[in-house]
Amino acid sequence: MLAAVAVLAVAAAGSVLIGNETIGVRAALGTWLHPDGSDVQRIVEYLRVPRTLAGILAGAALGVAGGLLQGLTRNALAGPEVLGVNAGAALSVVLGIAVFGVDSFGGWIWFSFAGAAVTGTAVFVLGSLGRGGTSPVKLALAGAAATAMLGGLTTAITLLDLTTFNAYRYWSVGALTSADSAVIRTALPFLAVGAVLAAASARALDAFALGDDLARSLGHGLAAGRATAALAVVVLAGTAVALAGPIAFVGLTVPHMARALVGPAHRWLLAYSAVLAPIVLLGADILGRIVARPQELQAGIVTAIAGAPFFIILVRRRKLAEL
Amino acid sequence: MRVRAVRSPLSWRAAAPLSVLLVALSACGAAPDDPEPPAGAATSVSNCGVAVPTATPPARIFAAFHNGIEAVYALGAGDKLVGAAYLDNPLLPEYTAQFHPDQQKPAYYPEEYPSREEVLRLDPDFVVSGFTGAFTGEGLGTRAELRKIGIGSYLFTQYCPTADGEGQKSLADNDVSLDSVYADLTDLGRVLGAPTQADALVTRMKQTVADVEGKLAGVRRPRVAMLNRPGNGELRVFGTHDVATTIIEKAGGTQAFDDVPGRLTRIGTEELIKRRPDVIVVPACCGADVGPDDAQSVIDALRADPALANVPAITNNRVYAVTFAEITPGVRNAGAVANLAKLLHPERF
Repeated sequence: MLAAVAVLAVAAAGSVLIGNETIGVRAALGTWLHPDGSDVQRIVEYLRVPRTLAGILAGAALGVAGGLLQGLTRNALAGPEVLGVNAGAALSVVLGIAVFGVDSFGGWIWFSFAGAAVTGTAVFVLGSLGRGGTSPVKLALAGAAATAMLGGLTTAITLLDLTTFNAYRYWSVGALTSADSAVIRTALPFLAVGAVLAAASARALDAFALGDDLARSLGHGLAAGRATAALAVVVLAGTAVALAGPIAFVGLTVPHMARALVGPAHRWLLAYSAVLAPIVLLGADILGRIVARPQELQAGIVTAIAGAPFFIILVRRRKLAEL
Repeated sequence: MRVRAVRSPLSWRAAAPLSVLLVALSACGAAPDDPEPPAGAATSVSNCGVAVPTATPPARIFAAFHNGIEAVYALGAGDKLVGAAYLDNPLLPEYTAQFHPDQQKPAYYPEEYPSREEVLRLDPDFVVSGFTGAFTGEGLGTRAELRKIGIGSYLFTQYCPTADGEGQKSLADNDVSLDSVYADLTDLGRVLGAPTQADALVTRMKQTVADVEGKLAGVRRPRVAMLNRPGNGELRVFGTHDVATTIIEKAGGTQAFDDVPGRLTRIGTEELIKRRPDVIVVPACCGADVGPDDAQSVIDALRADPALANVPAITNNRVYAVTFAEITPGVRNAGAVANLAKLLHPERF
């Protein structure tokens, strides 16, 4: 765990120092301790630090949400982006902008929660219908269908009303630069609540992993545990989407990395996910700043491009290990 | 503050610069040099590799984009305008008396061009486009397709793609000088049956620019960043291979983003800090009711951004609004040079 935190610290330092103009450690520290109004200080204080914090917070939230969903649905392919939660949150924010004229983070976040909650519930109900109740495959299929439909609706709205959505289009790819320090301050309490809920549901998730019958016989309240975990997912994924847009692959892949490191116990799985996911997201963001200079690639593009092959490798290796 | 600020063309016009990433500054200094062929000699003008006949002037014109619409008016063919799509700013006052969208004179489409069918319903015999994209399969149809159904076409040459309008990939090679604008207006004047009017217009424009250049002799050239910030999100700059750079240079400035090609290319805030522009110019866009004042919210946000506080343009309060229409190749370019020169070098005027 210490090692993971150390890597995260390195990634965060890299995110503050590396960019368009590489800033030395001493210069960055110096301006931090003695604000002098120089360009370096302004870049660090108003651009790099908020961006790094957004990456840490959104990454941790997505990683934990992914770990929770995988436990909740007993589905290795679950993640906020797979089960339609991110897509629902994004559509909800778009509707908020288009229909209600919501234009601040404080407003977006509630729409984001509502969208995440409604979609998550709908997908879960859809995936539980029919004979045999919930199954991982049914859930994943329902999530895929929901993601396709909601994504289509989002695209339709943004294309029909180009007027409103210039800002949205940027955000919709997933970027860490849209959040400033005020937005981050607003997001913090929500993320704290999400983290507490996630921690509270860890034991119940461990019990689910044994199967419903066994869990019940061990005396775990299935409904309460599930509800707590689901609420945590809604708060975490909703906040992450409002902060940085629907970033893909982080919530899906990072819990697998965590599982490979510490095994299936949720207490540790979630804690590691919270540390590893920001490393991935910050790494993607740093890469996006370097590869296309003087332009920048949004972090969401980089995670999508780099995340897919990484995920395939991960899945293949796991299969080999299981064999 | 509404998210609106700047609308669609910034997004889809930005598709063009994306294809301009390859830097190839070959067109500089290659100016067309046959302004006056003997009368009656030429029966067509060559436009992006397409021969456009000049014998019979069109009677029903559809014009796409602000500069296309104003060119038709400036060349005295406003009474033949049956359809117009997309104004970036209010029309110049001298044309407003002829513009009656409420009576379908012309039929006006404020958001991009209408569908192909909608245009054909207007039964035009000629289409003028001031920007890329109109003459594609997804737009109004390629120029070859239009020609088959008896519709002529003209495209401003700074947006010449391949000859039939299919590809949009080689814009970086196009001539973005004012000479290419003059050549366009001259050629379009011939096509619309108004060669004298076109020549007079070009002469006036050249005079305006010459007057400005005369006043700017030996001036110290400030670094100018021309940019917008749609929805106060990302910064998008008007870079090289674009008439914007031509206007900046003619007005006595230097392009602060001289290695960033294309129109409305996305850059990060840090890049703007690094370039240290002396002056920032924000072209207001887009809509028939969007004047320069509409750039104010963008300007206010730039001024209020603590990260930008050391940028000379912000420190010295030199952030100015202009119109998007004037930095798009067309009849406004000479006025744009004069306008920007006054902002950059007030002491000379």
